[in-house]
This record gives sequence, structure tokens and C-alpha cells, in this order.
Amino acid sequence: MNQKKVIDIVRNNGIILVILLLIIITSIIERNFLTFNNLLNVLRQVSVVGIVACGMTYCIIGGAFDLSVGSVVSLSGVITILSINAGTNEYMAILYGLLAGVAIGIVNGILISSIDGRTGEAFIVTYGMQVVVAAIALFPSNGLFISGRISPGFFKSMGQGVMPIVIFLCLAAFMEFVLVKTKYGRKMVFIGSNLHVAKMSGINVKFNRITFFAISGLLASLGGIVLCSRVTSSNPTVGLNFEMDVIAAVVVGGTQLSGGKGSVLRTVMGAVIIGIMGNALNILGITAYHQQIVKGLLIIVAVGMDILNKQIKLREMAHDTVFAG
Amino acid sequence: MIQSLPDKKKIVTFMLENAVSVFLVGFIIFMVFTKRSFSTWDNIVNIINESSIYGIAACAMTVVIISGEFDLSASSVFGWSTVLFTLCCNTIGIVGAFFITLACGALFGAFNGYLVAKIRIPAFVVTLGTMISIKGLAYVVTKAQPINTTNATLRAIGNFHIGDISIIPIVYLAVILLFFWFLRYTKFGRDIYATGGNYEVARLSGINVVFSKFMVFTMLGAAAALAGMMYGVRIKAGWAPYGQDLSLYCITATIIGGTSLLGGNGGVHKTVIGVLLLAVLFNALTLLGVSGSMQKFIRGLVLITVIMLDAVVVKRQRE
Repeated sequence: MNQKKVIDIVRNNGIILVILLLIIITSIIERNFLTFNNLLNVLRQVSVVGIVACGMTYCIIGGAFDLSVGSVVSLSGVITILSINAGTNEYMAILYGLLAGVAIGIVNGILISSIDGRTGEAFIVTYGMQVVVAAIALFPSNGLFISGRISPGFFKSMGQGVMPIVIFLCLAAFMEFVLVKTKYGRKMVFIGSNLHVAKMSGINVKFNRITFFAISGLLASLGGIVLCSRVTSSNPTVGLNFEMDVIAAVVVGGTQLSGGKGSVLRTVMGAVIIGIMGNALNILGITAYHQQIVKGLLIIVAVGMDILNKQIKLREMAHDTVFAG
Repeated sequence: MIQSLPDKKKIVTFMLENAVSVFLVGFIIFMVFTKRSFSTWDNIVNIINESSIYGIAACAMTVVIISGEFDLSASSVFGWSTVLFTLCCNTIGIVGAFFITLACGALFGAFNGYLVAKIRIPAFVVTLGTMISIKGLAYVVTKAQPINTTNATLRAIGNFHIGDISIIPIVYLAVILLFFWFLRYTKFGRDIYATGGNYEVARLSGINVVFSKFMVFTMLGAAAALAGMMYGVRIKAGWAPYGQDLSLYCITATIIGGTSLLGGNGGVHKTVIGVLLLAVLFNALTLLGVSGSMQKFIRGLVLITVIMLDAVVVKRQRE
């Protein structure tokens, strides 16, 4: 029985164990890897991906998908920096950036909920939206890099020091609380696990789904603003392929892509683990392009293991019923 | 009165189904009358040559969509194939390069197909993952630099013309005919329709659904590789970012043509029209002086519109 338990743990957390192994190897090779400063540095790097991944987790638990987050990250940065350069109050500039994200999220939500789209449809619609929003982000500066004229203040402090980490962790804790302890969060799980039953039991499915996308858009734009504040400039193509990192964080954390099951805290863990992995690979001298190959396979393996596990469990259950009966 | 109600519904459904095509045809007629340079022979030849490369992949994408799936990794297979083809042309000659690139594309497709059909991981996860990985591979191999080729045979093939038509539309025509025959007149082709129409029913009636799904992805891999090679023939170079918008283009063209994203219906002949309409649209936009980022914007908008219309039509038919 004990042996079976060990096998279960390995099966359910296979990827995390492999990455832990990588961390151990790296820390043996490079002494500076497991220092407090380096880990803080990693946490700072993953905080933007993490903020966006929290919103994506809501979307996925609610049975949908948002591929447009990468472009929203670019667009909100462009809008905020342009407004600040034009002399707008920095709080208003941040608000404009956030509003752009919410607006795109609401459009996504209306489009997808009006066709009762599941993950597949949401995937393609938001893919189209990704292209559209990426193009909009290119318009103001013709695709050029914009440097910000930023004086010290609230906006500048958002991306400096431990602020991104604080924003990321507070946000994640709040969102986990909402997911687990509030009616809204329970509705989200219900809608994600069975859309039609949720509809028949009187939940306003359309409205709730629109809010999932709006939250995803909001957090994507917040991520974009934090990123902008860190580098005090905006690049209209900074969010290119950003959604890949976000999705990797969510699925490595263990949120099911079929919806209805997941947790924000596990996404935080996924984001941190992927950040540490990237850092370890950098220390081992593996280039960004090689890491891209690893990241793509990681997404497939994470989801594949999950699906294989489910099939094995079903088989075991069938086996048990046969022998019990 | 009672009779006319369903007719009215049918007309509305028909309008919704073909709204984008009707709009595009109207746009083309408008262009013919307003822009002289649009309807010249040179421009028509240009449109045909341009649309042929992506059209090759779009035909195979149609088959994948008929089987009820879709594939995002085609764009990366395309870029990787331009790289591999040029590299092999420089080292082992064009015949070897052709077969190696084709086999490699089919292998990538088979990898997708195995994971989707056998392990049953959702297609969007698998193809998203392979899209990133294959692109990364192409960057790693080329160190992100474009590669030129000096292969004489390749240049000769690239410069070969019948009239004004280069070799690429001829290959495209062969691919169209092959897929058309395959889907309509072979048992395996009909199996793909059955698999996409109703997976469970197809499986219970003895169709090898796993093999069908596996094969459609393999074919798309090979077709994307072929399209990549044709691109290599045309511009005599290979680079990882080539063909980034291929998947988007193929999915849009397929749905504009009238193949539903739901699977189980449609055909390659419809997609040919979709490809042509899109090619004409972007050619016209270029002639009108619309900027690159604006064209990108329109491209995304067209995709969203056709998906939404397709979904609305499906919903109406169900009711």
C-alpha cells in the first residue's frame, strides 16, 4: 500500500519532481544559485508572468481560454506610457491602461459567451483577438520602442524593488480566497465543469463568463503596466509569445485545461517553478532558443501526464468494481 | 404563409453563411472599377503565384478541420522546412533535400497526430506546444540568421515558367486534385468525414477513428513542409520566422470557403475559393497603400468574423 502511495505521488507531481532534480543539480554545480538574492531575483522576474497567469487561471477554471493576454500586455504598456508622456496624471494613465485590458476582455467574453463557446472556440476567437490587439499596439508608434518620461512617483515604484512581488502575491492570495470562499468562485467552478447544468440551475452563465474574461484582461493589463514600470519604457511587441509562458505556468501548476478544477496558488507555484527552471537553464548556459523548445514540450508533457493519470485512475476504478462485485 | 417561414429562415442562414464571401466579391468588383492596376494580367498572375504557397497548406488544414481538429503548428513546420530545405540543398543536393524535408514535416505531423489521436490530449495544447518547440528548433539550428542557397538546380526550378505561371501553382493544382480525389472517392476520405461528424458513432460503426485523426495531422505536416519548400524555391533562402501567419491564414481561408470548424462537412474545393478571396483581399489592400500593421489588424478581424458567423449558423441549424 505504501509503495502505491509513492507511485501516486510521483505520477501526480512528475514534472515538479523533474524540475526539483534540475534545481538540485544546478545548486551543486553553481554555488550562487540557491542564495536568497538569486531567488528574490527569480521571483521578481516571474511576478509579471504570475500576475497574468492568475487571470488566465480564472478563465481556464471557468471553461474557456484567453490567448490574447500577450497582446494586452503590450497594448496596456503602450497606452500607459503614451498617456504619461502626454502629461496625464500617472494614476489616470494607469487607469487608462487597465481600462483597455478590461474592454478587450469584455469583447472576448461577449463574443465567446454569445456562441456558447467552449475551450476550442474560445481558443480560436482569442487567437484572432491576439492578432487584432497586437496590431492596435503597433499603431501609435508605428511599431517603435517608446521611452517614457517618468518622474519618481507611484507608477515608477510599481516595478521597482519588491513591489512586483508584493503585488503578485497579494493578488494571488486574494484571488484564491475569492475562488474558494465566495459564491462567485464556486459558480466559476460549476460553469467550468458543466456549462449546461450551470445554466439550467439558474446561474447567469453569460454574465459570469464575461467577467472571467474581463478579469483576465484586467490582470494582463496590470502585468503590462508593472513590466513597463520596471523598464520605464514600452515596446509594442514585448508581449509576443508571452501567453506561452503564462499557459506553461498554469498547466505546470496543475489546473485542468478542460475547466472546472484548479487553483490560483498552484499557478503561483507553477510560475515560480518555471522561473527557477529558466534561471537554472541560464546558469547551465542553455540559450533562450533552446529553452523555447523545452517550454513547448513542457506544456505538452504537463497536460499529457494529467490525461494519462486520469485514464489510469478510470481503469483502476473499473478494476476495483469488477473485483469487488 | 406557413410555407414561407422556413424559407425565410433558410435565406437568413444562407446570408450568414456566405456573408464574408459576398462582401469580398463585392469588394473585388469595387476594386476592378476603381483601381486600374488591380485587374491587369500581371497582378492576376501575381495573386495566383502568391496564393499558391499558402494554399498548399490550406488544403491539408481543411482535411484536419473536417476531422474535427485544428493545428497551429503548421506555421512553425513551414518555417522549419524553409530552413532545412535550404541547408540540405547546400549540402546534399536538391533531391535529397526534398525527401528529407518532406519526411521531417510528416514526422512532426505524426508526432502531433499520435498525441491527439492516441493519447487524446486536446489538439490546441499539443499544437501550441509543438508550435513553440519547432520554432525554437529552427532558431537554434540557424542561430536566428537567414540562410541563402546557391544550388543551381533550385535556381533553375525557381526561374522556370510556363507562360507567366511559375512551378508553384502547378504543384498547388496537383495538391488540390489529390486532396479532392482523396476526400471524395476513397474510403479513407469518407472515414475522415465520419470521424469529424460524430466521433463516437464513427468509432462504434467500425471506422478506425484513431488512425484517421493520426493521418490527417501527418498529411498536414507533409503539406506544410511542401509549402515551405515551395517558398524556399521562390525566394531561394530559409529563415525561421517565415510563414508565421500560415496557421491563421489557413484556418481563415478554410472557414471562409464554407467548411465548418465543427467538423464533418466541407471540402477542399471550397477552401480553394477561400484562399483566392483572401489573397485578392490582401493584394487589394497593398495596392490601396494600407500599412502592414493595419493589414494585420484586418487579418485578425476577418478571422474573428468568420468564426463568429460559422458558430451562429451552426447554432441556428441546431435550433
